[in-house]
Amino acid sequence: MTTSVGHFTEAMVEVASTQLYMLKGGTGRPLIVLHGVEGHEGWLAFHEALAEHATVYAPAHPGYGQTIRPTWMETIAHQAVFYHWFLQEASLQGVDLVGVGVGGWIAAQMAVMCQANLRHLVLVDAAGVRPRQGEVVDLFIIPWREVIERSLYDAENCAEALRIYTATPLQEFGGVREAGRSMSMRMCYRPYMHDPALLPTLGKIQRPTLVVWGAQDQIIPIECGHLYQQAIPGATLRVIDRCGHWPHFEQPEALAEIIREFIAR
Amino acid sequence: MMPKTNYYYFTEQPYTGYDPALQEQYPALRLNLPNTHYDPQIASDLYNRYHDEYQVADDVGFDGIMINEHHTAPFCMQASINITGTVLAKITRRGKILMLGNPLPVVDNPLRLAEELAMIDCISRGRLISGFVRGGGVESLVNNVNPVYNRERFEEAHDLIVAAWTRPGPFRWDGKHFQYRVVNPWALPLQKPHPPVMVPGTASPETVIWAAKHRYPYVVLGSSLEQTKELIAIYHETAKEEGYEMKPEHVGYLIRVFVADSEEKAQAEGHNFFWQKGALNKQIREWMAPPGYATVDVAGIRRLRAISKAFDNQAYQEAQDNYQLILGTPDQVITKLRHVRDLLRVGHMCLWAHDGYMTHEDTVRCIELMGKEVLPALRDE
Repeated sequence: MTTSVGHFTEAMVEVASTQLYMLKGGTGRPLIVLHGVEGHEGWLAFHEALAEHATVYAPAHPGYGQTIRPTWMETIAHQAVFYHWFLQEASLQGVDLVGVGVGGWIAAQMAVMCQANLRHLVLVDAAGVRPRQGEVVDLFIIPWREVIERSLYDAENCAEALRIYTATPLQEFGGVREAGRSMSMRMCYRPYMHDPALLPTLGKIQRPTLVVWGAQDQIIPIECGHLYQQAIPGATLRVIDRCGHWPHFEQPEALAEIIREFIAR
Repeated sequence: MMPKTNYYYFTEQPYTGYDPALQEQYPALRLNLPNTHYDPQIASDLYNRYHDEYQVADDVGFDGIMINEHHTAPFCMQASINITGTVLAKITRRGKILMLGNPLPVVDNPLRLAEELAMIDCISRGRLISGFVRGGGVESLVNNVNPVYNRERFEEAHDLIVAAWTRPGPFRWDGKHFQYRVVNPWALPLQKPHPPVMVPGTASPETVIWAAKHRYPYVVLGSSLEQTKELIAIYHETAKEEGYEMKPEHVGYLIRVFVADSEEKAQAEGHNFFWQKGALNKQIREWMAPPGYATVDVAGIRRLRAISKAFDNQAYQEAQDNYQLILGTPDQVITKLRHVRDLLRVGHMCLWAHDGYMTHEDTVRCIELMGKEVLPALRDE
């Protein structure tokens, strides 16, 4: 099934006997954007900006509602295997892989597993490593509205967030977002938001890597950005000011520009 | 004509030693209420007092004592139901030890739990009724067990415990959540094939169906009579599908009740059942039911909840009019309890007869009046 809406297409792509929900738009080299705990909130301004110079793939992770979870999928590593399977099925090579939050964790795990089909790696406020000093905010024991507010530097003036949560208001229970929250819980509950084996294995990555962090990220301390940058050979860290944990919502143009510049090298 | 109903005494074992003004800052009085407000000296006195009251209940003729377990909760001091169960095994002589129950999903070693329960059954000379519960969301959060596996872990831990009790060892267990090289416990229950199992709940149809499929009695924990009737109807339907007839012994009900020598006294003491001012209803949704915790029928639960009002949200007289709270002299209480029992046709009635700041003397008097006047009248049909 493929339908065209505006500048992108919406399709269900079969991968590993699972129907993967996929938005796709733009032209150029393949670029995959992996979302975080916020779930798949449609075709974002961030996607649109990236699509000016790339073919952007924006899938919904299995378990996050739009894509049903195969029963075997329980962990971030399983997601990484699944997305490698997708690259294989779709014959995608030279992929620029971008992940935000938990999506960044999946992207890093994919790069550690196998980088043959990857060209660049971009990790945005990525989960996956444990801070040494600070703590990752426990997203599972505070109200979801608070998670959203704390993920943004200036929630009241974040156009993208206002658009998304006005179009589909938060509901206390149920809906697509409930599935996504449950899937995050399944994969990231314990150990919380990290895999102790990830940091020590990041040294295996041999692809140009950009780490981006919101200067005012109140969810994952910027310390984790430094840990990623130090662990991945040759990685660069860029910090976006006046920006919280969700740069793709809050600074879509700036984030897309930083990524464009990096992958054009 | 009602078949024999069993009557159990229950208290949450509340920890009343904190400053009630703390609720302004910590409305739910759970999870983030700092335990710097916990005074072990007060707790020590309270534990021993509650145990003394259990002995009185056993002496005056209750069929058993119902106990429970909660974590990070001043409304319930029992961080381990098995500790209280062990105490009861030694300090009571006649009554059943009704555990409602061990929260299976938060247990990481169900084999050890099977052993502990077997020991309690042996020490009590076969008086254990081993209830199992899924536990609320906070129990999972506090014990750091992933809420999305709550039901899977409940079911697998149950299967393992029953196997450990009934299947000759040694054998291997290779489950999804639990694995053992050798299951071969040298502590086995006295009751055969194993101690009776009961399952309590408040609103989840999933749990009722599970209990009915296993033919385990299901005890409704103080839900409204309308909601309770619906849950019992689900049990009835499931039993029919399973090819057996539901009997009163398959269902139970927990109800708040306080007896005193005068109506005025009972009415005054009854306010203690509201001592935490609806704290549990002030939990955020993420604590009560974390994402993934309810696997199937959230809508069903909400429909059931919608037809009734939470206990703490009812006015004092309203709760009494709805038979959610029964207060009075023995004669007044007998009439109302009989009404509830016969309406629901339950074979197990758990009488929640102490809460909040009730004194030891008032509690003991209540237990004595129940044992000497209320229970004999209810049994004399």
